[in-house]
Amino acid sequence: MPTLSFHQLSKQYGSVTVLDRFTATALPGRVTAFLGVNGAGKTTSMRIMLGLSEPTSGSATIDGIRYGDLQHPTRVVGAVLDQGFHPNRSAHNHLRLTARQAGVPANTADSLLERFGLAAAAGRRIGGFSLGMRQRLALASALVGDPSVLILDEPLNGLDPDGIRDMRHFLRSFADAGGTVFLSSHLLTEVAAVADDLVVIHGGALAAAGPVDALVTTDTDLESVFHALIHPSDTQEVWS
Amino acid sequence: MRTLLSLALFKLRTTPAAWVSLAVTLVLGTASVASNALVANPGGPAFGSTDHINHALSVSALTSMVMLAVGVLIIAGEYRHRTIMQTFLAEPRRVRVLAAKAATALGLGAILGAVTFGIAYGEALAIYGARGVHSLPVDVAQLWVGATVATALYGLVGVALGALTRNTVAAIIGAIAWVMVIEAGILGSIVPNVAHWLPAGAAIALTSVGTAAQGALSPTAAALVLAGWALLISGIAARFSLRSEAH
Repeated sequence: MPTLSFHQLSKQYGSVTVLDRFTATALPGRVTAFLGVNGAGKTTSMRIMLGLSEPTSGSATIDGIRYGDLQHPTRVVGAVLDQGFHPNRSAHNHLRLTARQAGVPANTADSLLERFGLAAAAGRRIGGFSLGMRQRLALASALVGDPSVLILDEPLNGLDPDGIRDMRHFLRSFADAGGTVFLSSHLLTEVAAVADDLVVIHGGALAAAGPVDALVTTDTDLESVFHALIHPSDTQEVWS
Repeated sequence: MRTLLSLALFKLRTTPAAWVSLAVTLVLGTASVASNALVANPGGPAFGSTDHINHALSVSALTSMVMLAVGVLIIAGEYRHRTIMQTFLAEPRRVRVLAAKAATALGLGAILGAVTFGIAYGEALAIYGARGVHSLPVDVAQLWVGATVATALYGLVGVALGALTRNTVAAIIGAIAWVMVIEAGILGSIVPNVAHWLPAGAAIALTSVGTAAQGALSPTAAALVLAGWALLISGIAARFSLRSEAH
């Protein structure tokens, strides 16, 4: 099962440094939560890992191989970023298309629609879907190629409590089966309930990394640990 | 590459835009042949003359613009709906994705141009035949090939414009404004000799006979000029697309 590695990753947009020698790993069989405030560099790191953006320097690899060099990338890595859907395409056709893109049988779409509770909406236009249904469809799309790695950017957004619970169970079982899960989220309580490892990024650089058990002790919680890392001088702004 | 081509076609046929475009082309195409052939135009060319038939068979202007719009939609539609990310996740070698989209537009354009012209020709034969003109005094083969080539190349230009602008509305309106206003309206009046070497001028030369083709490039030269423009714009678009980030 693959390991994700960010090595001395830097990304510069003109004079703005988005990533500054960021180094981290996500291991197989573990759920790794990727935390950071907005603009910390989470999405850029994920996009570079997925070959959607080029680093200024450094590397992001899956078992030592760049995403773009994988023979069948979507059969190795399933990703949920903010990719969209054609609003006039049905969910069934969307998944059939994704299956064909991955080079797997088109009937994979049917089993995924069933698995994610979308079978009844299979023929409907995606434009009429709720945010939660879109999230489920996005996850189903990521799983079309039966990948061993999942890279998920804010996968819990828009899910109702049942959806969040289902997602937690799904991620846990995916990792327990040996898969590598790397997910970003701002929902720290939910992350604490499912993550094995944490990677905290701040200002484009690694702020902390390690097992949740080592970073979050019994007399504290993930939220206070996160804020202590991001605001070490305790000068965090609090909305009034 | 075959997979990418079939994926591009699958994307088109699972959304309404392509079917609407096809329906619009067939309805407007057949209507334009009938109206151009049957509606009297005082002071215009005589019924059954080369110019009259050229006017009746001028469906390639329609097919070319429709295919330009479809070409834009093939790629800019992916940026508009942010499905391009999924496309590049499945095939990170972007040049292959762009090549497949370009090939799809070329192929579809050739089919649309050839089939629409064929229907228009059949309709024209029936209309003129019913009024006693049984032999059309135009080089049908040249017009048929011209319509096929022009429509195909306009599809390629559409893909290139879509890749450059990543905006369906801007690309389509910009292209129509260029063809109708700048080329046909302004440059065609002020510097006609230059306008012949531009994309719309070359397309007119490729798809016209009679007075409309006078002073224009030969069909072969026009095809080469139009292909040159299509390849030039495609090259710029490919360079831009391969260097920029996918959002």
